[in-house]
Amino acid sequence: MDNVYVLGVDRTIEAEARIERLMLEHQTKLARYLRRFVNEQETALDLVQDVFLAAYRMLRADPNRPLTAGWLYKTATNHAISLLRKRKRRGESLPFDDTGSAFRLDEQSASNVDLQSALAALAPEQLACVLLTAYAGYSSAEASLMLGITAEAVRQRVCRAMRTMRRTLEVKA
Amino acid sequence: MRWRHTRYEVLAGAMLLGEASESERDEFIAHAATCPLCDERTASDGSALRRLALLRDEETWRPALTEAVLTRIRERRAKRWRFAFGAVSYGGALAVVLNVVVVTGFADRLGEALHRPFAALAPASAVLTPAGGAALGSDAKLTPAFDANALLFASTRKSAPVLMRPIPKHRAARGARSQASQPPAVFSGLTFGGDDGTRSLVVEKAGNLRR
Repeated sequence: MDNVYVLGVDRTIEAEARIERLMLEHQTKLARYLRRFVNEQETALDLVQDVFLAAYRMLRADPNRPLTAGWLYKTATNHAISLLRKRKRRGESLPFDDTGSAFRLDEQSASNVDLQSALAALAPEQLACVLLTAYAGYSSAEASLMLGITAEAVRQRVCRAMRTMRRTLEVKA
Repeated sequence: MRWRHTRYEVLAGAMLLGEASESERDEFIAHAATCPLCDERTASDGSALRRLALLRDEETWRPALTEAVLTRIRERRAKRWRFAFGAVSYGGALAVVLNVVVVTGFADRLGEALHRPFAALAPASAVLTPAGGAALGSDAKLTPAFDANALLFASTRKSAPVLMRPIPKHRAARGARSQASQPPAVFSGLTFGGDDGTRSLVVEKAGNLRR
């Protein structure tokens, strides 16, 4: 079996088993979080796959590394932020009428679609703070560790995001 | 004053998230009463946040990605193994081929064959004997190269270019090393002193041989 270990086979199998467990536990929450973030179902699914592939690569390199939900959310947030920035750089944006369309199949409520539109109007960094705290249920201290900023900065961004969202929702109303 | 306003934004954020202490709450409310930017709604209207939290619990979408991700992982692993095995196989095959080529001497013959049409001729010396005979020796092998043109030149003309048998460079180098051990009176035009009555002539490179 030593030879097998040297070839890295058991390490790979172990990493695969851990990824499977992590996916069963976290994939639904992570996919919903990312769908809120990027406002597109298919893109969210792609991002979830990317996150778990990144986790697999990390586990293959270091099987003993602890991998928490926080790490998954942090990686997912970074992927989503860079995707939104890339879209902005390219000048790509969803038409305003399509905003929230990813949710219309299972959430027919107009107010929820309005809420999603208001979220889509936020800057990616503010959106990350709002979703990590209000939607994913992390505290500002935990969110600050994931985003690499201070807890005060998270609170400030949430405050500014709420101000922007309130304006957007008032306009829609 | 901007830093102070930033401080109240942080406090408002803490209140929105339900993380503010009682003293922080009082501090913000006292500030909001006098600040036109920070009205009380900034911190109290957290309805959007509350709706987001409710949405999280109401969502019904359950994607099933486990198989897709595991398939991608297995595909990548198979690709990596294919690459590793391929590299080892091709490396081994190449080593065997190189070994065969070197051991059988094919490499030498191939090198010679490849060099022949293009190789520069090695400088050579021609030794003319008093009897009118000629012996052409190349620097490379230190053996006479009995080329008809060279013999013709050696006996009749003394300044025209001579076509010589091309000597591959690697052989020329080998010959140059072994030259020191050979009798200088016979083949080396540079050291030949003419004590035995013979004359020596250095034949310059005549150009590339066309076949």
